[in-house]
Amino acid sequence: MFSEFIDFDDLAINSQNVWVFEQDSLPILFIDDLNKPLANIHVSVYSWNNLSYDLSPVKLEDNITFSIEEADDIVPFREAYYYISNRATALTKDEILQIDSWNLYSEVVQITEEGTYVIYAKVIDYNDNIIYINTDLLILDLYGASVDISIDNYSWPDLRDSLDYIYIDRPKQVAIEANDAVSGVASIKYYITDQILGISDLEQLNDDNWTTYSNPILINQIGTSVIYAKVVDNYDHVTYANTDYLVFDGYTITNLIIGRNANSYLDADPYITNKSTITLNIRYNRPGIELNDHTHNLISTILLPVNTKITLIDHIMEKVYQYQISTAEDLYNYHNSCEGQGPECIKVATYPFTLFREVGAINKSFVESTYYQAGQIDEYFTIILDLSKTNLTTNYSNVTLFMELHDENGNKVRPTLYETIEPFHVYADVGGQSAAANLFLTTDYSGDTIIFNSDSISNINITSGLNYQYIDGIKIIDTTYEDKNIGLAIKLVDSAGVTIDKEYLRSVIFKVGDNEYYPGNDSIVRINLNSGIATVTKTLSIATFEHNCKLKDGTYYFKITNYAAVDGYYYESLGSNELTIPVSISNDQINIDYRFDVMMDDNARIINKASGLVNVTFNILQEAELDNPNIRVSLYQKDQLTAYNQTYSIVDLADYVNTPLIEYVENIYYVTTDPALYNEFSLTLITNNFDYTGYKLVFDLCDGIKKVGTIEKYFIVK
Amino acid sequence: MKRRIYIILLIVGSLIFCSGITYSIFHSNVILNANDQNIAKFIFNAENLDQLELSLVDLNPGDIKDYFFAVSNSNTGSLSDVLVEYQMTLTTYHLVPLSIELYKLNGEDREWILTCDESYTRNEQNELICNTPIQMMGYTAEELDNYVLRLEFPNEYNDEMYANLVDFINIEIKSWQKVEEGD
Repeated sequence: MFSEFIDFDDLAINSQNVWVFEQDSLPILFIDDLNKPLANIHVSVYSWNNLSYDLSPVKLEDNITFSIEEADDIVPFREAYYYISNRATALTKDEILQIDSWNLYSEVVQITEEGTYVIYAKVIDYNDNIIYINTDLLILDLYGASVDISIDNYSWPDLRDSLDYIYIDRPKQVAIEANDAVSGVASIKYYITDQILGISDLEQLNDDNWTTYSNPILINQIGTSVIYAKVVDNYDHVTYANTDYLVFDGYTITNLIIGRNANSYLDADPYITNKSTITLNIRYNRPGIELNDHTHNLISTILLPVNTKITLIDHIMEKVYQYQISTAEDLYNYHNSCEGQGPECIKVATYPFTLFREVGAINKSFVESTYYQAGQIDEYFTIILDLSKTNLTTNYSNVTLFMELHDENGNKVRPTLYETIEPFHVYADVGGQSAAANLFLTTDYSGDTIIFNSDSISNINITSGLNYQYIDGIKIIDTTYEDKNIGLAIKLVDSAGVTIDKEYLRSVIFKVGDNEYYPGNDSIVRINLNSGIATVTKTLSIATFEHNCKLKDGTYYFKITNYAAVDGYYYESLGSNELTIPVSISNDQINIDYRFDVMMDDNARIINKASGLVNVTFNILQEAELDNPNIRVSLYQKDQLTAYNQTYSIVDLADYVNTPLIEYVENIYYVTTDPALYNEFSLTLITNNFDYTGYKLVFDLCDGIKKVGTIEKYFIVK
Repeated sequence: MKRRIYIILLIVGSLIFCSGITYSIFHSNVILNANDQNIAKFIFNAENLDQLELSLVDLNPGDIKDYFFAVSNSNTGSLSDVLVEYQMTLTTYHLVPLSIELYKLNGEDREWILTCDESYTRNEQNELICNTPIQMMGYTAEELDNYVLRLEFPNEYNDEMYANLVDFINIEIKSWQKVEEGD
């Protein structure tokens, strides 16, 4: 008996139910029935008539057109369905059974989209047998790979012959990415040239010309480059792409000079004060084309403060220009310079050279030039940035100055080579203290008082120099002292600090080394130490001589300060340290032109003690140009009865005379406060009041309180 | 220039020394013995010539002054009829650093008699008292003892402090009869 196959579940119970009746009559084993192809899926020259879980790739270069047809015309199927899978692996039996989106097959179906496909067919015969058929993995790859050449924010996905210029200021890496989702990328190669190449040019290049791409391409040679990429996919499709002109070129800053003179601060780090100057030398000298309507610009990474003075020296045109920042207003596009840029953008202020006025000319600004001659562009500028007149109060780190050449649309066409840009740092303060350098002045002088109107020499060792501020152990240069010489300023002042006129310094010599110095018209002695701004110790010798000194008695001071001046003499300001040397002036007798004499009768020079009252007359001659002449008298008694000690001590004259006296001070009396040329003065001596010894009457001719001359008249009492 | 002036017992007035002028005054003061019966004695006029005062005014360092004088045993021709002894006394303040030396002149020879300096004592009036040794004079003939008082202001005191100083020197002679044994 041919028991009919029902299904596999029944078969598991009724193993004899294995027959199916082909065409309702011909019994065949069900398995034969099942295995007997019922239909074929045809794709191109390929056909499949069974279900397979092992897929082989089938590359198709045209659209996929498939049909489902009976395998045997005499065994038609009732209906067929198809399902298109995009999965690269075969569906499992369960997955096939779970497909609920079978499409009824009625006619040829075409797949035009590139990709990978497995077509499943579900064919039902008239016995309601369902068989499944699938194709192998159909790969439809119609195109080559996608390519992307990129550098910074630029990317190029295709081949082009109309190229822009991309200007780079530093070595850059160019990356090439390629992708073929269908067949995969077989190889990526690149070729660097400065020419524009078409497909035929590229196809004619030998394999040797192409370099296999494995890592980003480093552009680090000055010049212009176009990078061509060649990508081959696994279907041997070739795709080309190229960049624009990549121009690695720019100005070169040959020197960043602290100050103005390259020799002033050799080996110093570029840390400067907010009043300092910085100088740059910038060059561009290369073959090129003439660029008209382009503008030269100074670029700064800070908005330069008001009163910044910029000097521009054009060495090619041999002209000097200057520009001074006159406003805090941002006329230089600093704040908007990063508009539309990413967070990594650094703001810059742009100062066109046309802002600069020619020095020595009237109302003449910088005139642009191409600096082009015979195929060569030669530019050479020096830029001096002077902050000395600014009131900069902010510290700035990593400030850079450089140049850019812009085209007529303001686009940068020539930067400054990044590796030549050296940052500098500007300090207004360090830890709340001014960053400015300051002069210091010290001495080891003991402070002995100089006796002004005497013969004396005082040697004073003075150390003078400049104290710089430091930040993290790095010296902050203050270029306001550049090219200056430190000197000493010396003046004589009275106790009230009033400067004494140079007329009174005629008998004083100030000496350093072999050179002597004298006060100028302002009564200040200036001594150039001839050591620049270096720290130096010098010996200042002050020699005084006994002389006619008309200064009043008292204590005066030599005030010594230092300064820095271009010529070592004429300074704008003095250092804050001041040395004080006390000076004593004592004028008991001033030798001015005068006549003064006192005559007494010689007979009265030996007085008898027993004489009672003795009248002695003195004839006094005085002649002098004095403002306030007066004559005073005092009495002195010999200290010892010996010829070998001539000391006398003052006694009160009033105790020895009965003449009315007008006291000047204790023991000193006026002879007259209004002396004439000849004056007579009498004293009545009370002889008994004297001791047996020697005496002297001292007559002083004075100008006010100042003694002009003295006459002593000796006498004895016996 | 020196002049020799004899003071013969009776000399009136004091002589003042001036620069460049020297003179000498000498006197001797003999206390007469009212009951003396000898003729020879000093006769001095006590009124004026008890002493010689020299005012030293405006002497200068380097100055040397010689003052010559004599002592005589004859007064206007009268001789002392006895042997006379006499002593001279120099007094001074010595406030000027003078060298004060007294010499007796014997012809061309000078016999140093004394140097009056601050080794001598001072009296109540602070005067230095310099006494000469006792001298003798005979009575048989007229005799003169000649002396010179030399004042020297050493150069080493050439300093302003020693200028215009004042001092004095007095010379006083005292004489008496020499009583001989057996007389």
